[in-house]
Formats: sequence, C-alpha cells, structure tokens
Amino acid sequence: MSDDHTVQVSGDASTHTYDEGCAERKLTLKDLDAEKITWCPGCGNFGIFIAIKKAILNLGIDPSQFYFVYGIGCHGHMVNFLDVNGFEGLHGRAVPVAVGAKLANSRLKTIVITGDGDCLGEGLNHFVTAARGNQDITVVIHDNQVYGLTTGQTSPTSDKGFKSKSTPQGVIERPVNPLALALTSGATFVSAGFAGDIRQLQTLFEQALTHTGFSLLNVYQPCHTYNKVNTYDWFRDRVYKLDESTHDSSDFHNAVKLAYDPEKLATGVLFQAEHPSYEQDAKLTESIVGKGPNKEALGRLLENFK
Amino acid sequence: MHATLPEHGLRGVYTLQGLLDLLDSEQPSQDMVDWVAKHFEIVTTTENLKSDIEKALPTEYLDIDPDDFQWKVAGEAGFGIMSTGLIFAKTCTRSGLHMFDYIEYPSLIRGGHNTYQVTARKDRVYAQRTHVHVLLALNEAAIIKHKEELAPGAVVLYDEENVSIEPYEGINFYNIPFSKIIEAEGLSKVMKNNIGLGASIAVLGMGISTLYGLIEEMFHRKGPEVIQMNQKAARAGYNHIMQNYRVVKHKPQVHSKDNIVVTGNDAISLGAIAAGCQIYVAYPMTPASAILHYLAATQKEHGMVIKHAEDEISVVNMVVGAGSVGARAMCGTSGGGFCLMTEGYGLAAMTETPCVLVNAMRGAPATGLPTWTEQADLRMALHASHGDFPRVVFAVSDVDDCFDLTVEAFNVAETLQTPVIILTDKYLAESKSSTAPFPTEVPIDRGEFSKENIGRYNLTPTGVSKRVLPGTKGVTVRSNSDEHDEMGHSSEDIDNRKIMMKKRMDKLKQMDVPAPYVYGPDDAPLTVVTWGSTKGPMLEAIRLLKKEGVEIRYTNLTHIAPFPKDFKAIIKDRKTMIIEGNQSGQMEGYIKEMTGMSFDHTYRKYDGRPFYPEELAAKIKEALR
Repeated sequence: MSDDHTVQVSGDASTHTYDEGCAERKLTLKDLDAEKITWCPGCGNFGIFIAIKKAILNLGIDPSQFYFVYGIGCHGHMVNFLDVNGFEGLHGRAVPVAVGAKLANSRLKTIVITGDGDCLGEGLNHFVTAARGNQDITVVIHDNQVYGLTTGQTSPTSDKGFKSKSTPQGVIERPVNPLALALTSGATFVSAGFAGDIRQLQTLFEQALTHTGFSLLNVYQPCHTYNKVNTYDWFRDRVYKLDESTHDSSDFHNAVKLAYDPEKLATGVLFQAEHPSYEQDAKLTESIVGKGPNKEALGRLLENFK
Repeated sequence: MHATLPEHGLRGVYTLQGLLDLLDSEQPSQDMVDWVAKHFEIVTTTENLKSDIEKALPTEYLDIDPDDFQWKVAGEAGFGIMSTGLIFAKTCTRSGLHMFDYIEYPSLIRGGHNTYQVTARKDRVYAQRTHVHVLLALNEAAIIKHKEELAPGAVVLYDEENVSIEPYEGINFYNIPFSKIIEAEGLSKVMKNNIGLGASIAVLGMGISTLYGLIEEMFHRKGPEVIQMNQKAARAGYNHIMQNYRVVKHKPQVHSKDNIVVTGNDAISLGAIAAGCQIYVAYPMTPASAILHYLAATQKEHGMVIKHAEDEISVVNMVVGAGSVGARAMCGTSGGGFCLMTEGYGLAAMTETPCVLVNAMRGAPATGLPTWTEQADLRMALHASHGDFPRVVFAVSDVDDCFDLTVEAFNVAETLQTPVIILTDKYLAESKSSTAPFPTEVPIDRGEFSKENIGRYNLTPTGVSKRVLPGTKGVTVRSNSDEHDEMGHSSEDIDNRKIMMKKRMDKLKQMDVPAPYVYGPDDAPLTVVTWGSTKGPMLEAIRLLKKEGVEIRYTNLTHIAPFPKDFKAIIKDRKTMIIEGNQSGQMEGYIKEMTGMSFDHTYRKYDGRPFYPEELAAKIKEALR
C-alpha cells in the first residue's frame, strides 16, 4: 500500500460512542429534515415520513443510533429527506443489507424502508427468510399496490384485475398478502397502518422498533398519481383499528384470519410473540466492528493442520 | 491439543531400520525390546534384538524412491477415501517429506469414482505428477481406470478376491486379503482403509508409529478402543506387507511436526482469521463451500460471525450491509453464485463499501463441471456488474498466496473503500500442500476514520474519503447506490457526476501493484506466462525441463487488476508462450488489451482436469522447437 495511508490497528472502529436516550439535545422535527421533499403532492409517503420522525423523537434515542436501509422506489427517496444514518441499496435488496448491518453492529436500530414492489416482488425471498430467522430488524412496507417510480405498472399487491401500463387488460395473478406472508414465515411482530393516520402509524412504528425480532409494519398507502383505484377514500371505507382491549395479539390463527379479511383492512398490531431473535440466539449483543483478529485462536487452529 | 498425545517413536526412531541404525551406536536395551514387541509384534530379547530385527527386515528392495514418489488411493465414493488420503498425506509430512495432494470426485455423494493422490518429496512439491508409484486400489475400477498412470515397477495394493484382473509384468501386484485380515484380527469392515494405509506405509518405508499417532488424533473423540482397533488394522496391513513382499529400503526417519497441510480453501479461511475478518456470509457452492464449513466449524475459536444466507444475492448484500457499518466482511462462492452477486458487487463499489469476494472457479458455464477445475471466470471477474468503477482482482497461485492475498485483499478493500475479488479454482481450493505454518501476526490497515460530520463521500486528494461509521454521535452517515454528493445525497448534477466518478476511479492510483516475479535465466529463449494456480504445475515442469538441460523464463500473474504497469518490460524481447485453463484465452486477450503484446505460442486446457507438469514440459518443448 502507498505510504499516504495511516496504518491503524483494528481497534479504531470500536472507539465510537453509543449513547442511548440523548434527549438533552432537544431535537425538533426540523432537525431530522435533510433535503427538500420531491414526492408528489398527496403522496402517502408524507404521512409515513412524519410518523417516523415523530417516533424517533418520542423514543428519545439519539438519531445516530438508527440505521435506515432503503430500497428502490419512491419510498427510497426518503434517504435524501431524513437526516438520519441511511443506506440506499438496490431494488429488492434492502432486507439483506439491513440484516448484514445488524449482525455487524447489533447496537444499531435497523429499519428497512421498502415498498410493495421492492420487498414483495424482487425481494420476496429475503423478506420470507429474514422473517423466518426472526432477524432483529423493522420492515416498513409502503404498500400502494402500484409501481410509482417506474410510472405505473402492476405490483405484487395489486388486486386481481387491476389495470396498469404493464397489465392494460387487468392483472391476472392474485395479490401477495404481506401480513399473511409475514405471519406464516415466522415474523414475531406483524402490524398494519394507514398513511392517513399519522398518530397510529407513529405508535405502531415505536412498537415495532421496541420489539425484539423481526417486525413488520405494512402501511396502506394511496398513490395519487398512478393508482386511481386504491385512493384515500377507498382505504377510509375499509380500514378500521383493532380494539386493543379485546384483540388478542398472541392469537396467531386469528391474526391470519384478519390478514385474509376480504372486506375490511384491520390496522394495529395483529400479532406479536416473544421469541429469541437471530442475534440473541447467535449471542450478538455488541458491535463486532472494532474486534481485532484472534491471534491465539489462529495459533491453536494452525496446530491442527500439522 | 495434540501435543499431549503420547509419542510412538523410541528416541527419535520410528522404523525397524531406524532402530537397527541406532544399535550401531547404542547397546540393546529392554525398552527397545518392549518397543519392537508393541509396535512390530517381534518377541525377542536384548541379546537377540539385532539379529531378530535383521531377520524381520527384507533383503531385497523395491525400486521406488522413498524421497520422491506418488501414492494414490482410488475407489467408490463413500469409501472414506478423503480421510484415508489425508492421513497418508500427514504421515508423509510428519516423516519429513513435503507433499501436494490432488483429489478427483464426481458431483454425487455415493457410487461415483473417487481418487486421492499424494505427491511426496524431500523438497517442496508444487503439483501432482502423472506417474503413480503406489496405487491402493479399493475396487476393480481403481485398477482399470489408473493402470496407465502406473510407473514402471509400481506397486498395486489390491484384494485379488474382488478383482478379475490378472497381474502382469513390470508392475508389482501385492495381494491384501482384506476380508480375511478383518476376520482374523476381529476388526470391523470400515477399518479396511487403515489396513491399506498400514500396507502403504510399509511399502514406502515410513514409520508405522507415525501412522499410529495420526490414527490416534483422527479418532481421539471416539475413545481408546476405536483408536486401538484402527491401529491394529494398520499394523495388520503393515505386517502383511513386511512378511510377504519387497518394500523400499528404509531410511533413517525423521519425525517432524514443522509443516502444516492445508488446502487453498483452508489457507483463505486462515488468512481471513488472521486479517481480523469479522463476518463471513455464504451460500453453499462447490468448490468454495469448504471455506464456509471450516469457518463455521471453528467459529467458537475465532469468534467470526458466520451466516449461511438464502442465496448469493442476499450473501453479497449482507456483506455490503456489514461492511457499510464498518465490519471486515467476506463472502465466498463459485462462478454461478458470483453471477448472482454481480449487482451487489457494483453496489459495494458505488457505495464505497469495503468487502472481499472469493470466487472459486469450476468448469462452466451454468452448472458446468461442478467438481472439476477451470480458469474461465477471469473476464467475468474483470467486467462483473454494470458501469465503470475501480476493479481490484487477485488470482491466488498457491496456498501461501491464498493466505497472504486474503490479508492483502482486506487491507486494499478497507484502505481504498472498494470491493476486492479473489479468484481461486477447484484445483487449488481443494488440493492440499505442505507448507510452513502461516504467521499469526499480519499487517492490518483499516484506513482512515473520522468522527466529524463530513459526509460519507468527503473529497480528498486521493479520492479515498475519511470513513465515518454509523453509530457515531452527532454524525449522519449516508451511503447511496444512486449517484451522490459528498453527504451521500442523490445527485444528478453534471459536475458532481464527473467529480464522483473521478474520485472513485482515482482511488486505484493509491495501489502499488507489484511486478510479477520472473523465474529462470535472463538469456533463456522463451518466456512463459501463466496466472493463478497454474504456477504449481509450471514450477514442476521447469524442474523436469532443467533435468533435460532446457531453460526457460517464466512468470505468473496474481495481481490481475489493476494490471502491473511494468509487465511488458519484464517479458523482454523473447519468444512468448501463454498457458491458461480456459477455451478462449481470456488472459491472453486481457494482456493484449493492457499491453498490446501478442503471444507466439499458446496452450489452453478446459477439460476440467488440472495441468500436469509432464504435459506442460512437452508443450514447452514443442514451442521451443
């Protein structure tokens, strides 16, 4: 290597501080803003964005302790709007980036911001596997039942018969059900919200973040520009809040039933279970980023090759 | 762990011949009598010790050089051929020999034909050879398939009960009645291979006690009874040969535990541990799976996070995720898996995330020849993923290189903040070599870090940003697969695009690419060029050519991209020849692209089999004609 590089032993990366509960900085919503927002007026993303910012402030965790991993789609532009650590990856591949980041530094609150196309089309295998592993990440699906950024094609959650640029005669396939899929894949926190209800979204996001293990927040969201079917009114006619006093979120079969309700869209925490997360089972409670090589172990291992 | 096991030798002596030599300078003693009774079943007294040993030793010897031979075991898959081969290989190294092994097996678990061959020599061995001196044939197919490889005067160890082949002139067919021995000694059928090992050791004049030690280590988890039974099987094979057949003349034996015996995959794994790799992610794929297996099996020792992900797309993205928060991260696969990784590989480059990707090549395209070797992924490695970005590609040439270049790959990845590809192949990945133990202390350079809020892609004169890590208080770290500005915000600005492209490409200027080493005299008439694992067979070919008085110049490429600047100068104004393991001459074309030079002679091989020294020597002689 060139001499210009300072040689540093591996300890350096470990010296970063991790302070939780940094409320003394008295942050406001504005402090979490980065660049000017470019979403279409009326986009459901606004509601989700505000709810996330409010949740960050309300949780009182220093913003430096979050790691947002974004997919590709209109949702992914949030990387430019939210002034919190972020990684914008490839289309469909946000989940494995988040899983890898969390394995490496389990102190980071790791969130996937994704869409129905990104997460349930191109990235479906990762979604199922991360849920199965109970990886300790939160997945927020911006579920608007259409591809927005690529200007209006059918998405994995589009209803059968939905007409779009890629399916002018109406989509033939039946839609993916993200809630049922998460449930049957082993997710330990499955919730749904509506982009038109910021207060509930904030609470759900906070609950998802404080849950240990794989948590899903599926957000029903209109796309003003490309989805003329699933509008705010359409959703308002169908969404309802689960009654927390009567809903038993430990009842898996009831949650599946709710997920498959053909008439109504339940919002709230459909299901929650306590299971050790992948990271807990793998005994990953700290950051491994600063860990140096284990020379003694290497010496012992070399002996076995003699 | 093994150091506590009892030694089987007697004051540095491991064979009867060795004891006889010792008796020239020492008086016979009771411990010598006990030792020959225990290990060689010779019941004697101090008075008769010398004459009884002489009686037990053969008077005529085989014409096989015990310091330079090739041994092969062959039989059906599922016969335990791999572990048998490994014990033999280690017996060689502990007897003071160097070794190289080469295994062949089909892509199935049972029923196919497996071979394990060990080339042993007093000095360093770089490749397998064509001629076999001792063939342990576990079935008839083993003889039929390999009889052409037998050197004149070679020994075939076989069971005539199971084989319809008639012994013929020029080859020593030694019958080992495996089932009779098993019955007579009260052994289990699974111990057949150890009878064969004992017989092999006897033929080649190595110490049975060295073999005992290895059997003990191999079975130490299964308890003393299993160890004793397997040692008994080895002794039965050993005695059967000593009592019935000619063997090589025993030489004074050394008992050595200086060298390690590792595959290329082992060496890459050990290199990753030495380099402080913190996470390894993979999806199983031959011939890279052994890296995953080894690192997972030893995880409790080295503490690395090991993840078997759902597919190679996930693998590379997990590695990028881990790398993006500051971990030393690596993944390994073969060509097919690497194809799936290519988009993520470009993501690593665009987001300037350090990571190391190992691609162990095999016969391709598609599923190709899963368990056979090839060097046909070079162009893919050089051009993988869309767009322009800095390319760093290494091709490892031997087990030492596997260790060293893995360490180097991590340092380059982190100091340049870019992905690094290591190309290896089935031949090197799964062949074992003896070598000096690797160092436990290696240079580690993680590059420069900052705790300021200067943006993930802060501009510097070298193009290498100071790295800020997520989790640093008061700092926003934003990585972006979109084109981005210093702060990581997406940007489609014309000037920014130019600045950022230049920034990324400029980083390569920081890399010192060493000129490849040139073997042979300067005035030799021909310069031969190879890359990666072809070095082993070439070094052996040079040895063969030297014996015939033929000298050549030779160089092997390991640092493929960036390409060594002074390459053309080292070739000099000589006739040139390039030898590589693919159909289309991928390296030949690449060198032409980099230097403008053409080669006078080429030799390419793509049948899944490795190069053999004899084959290369013949091709080089043709070129010299």
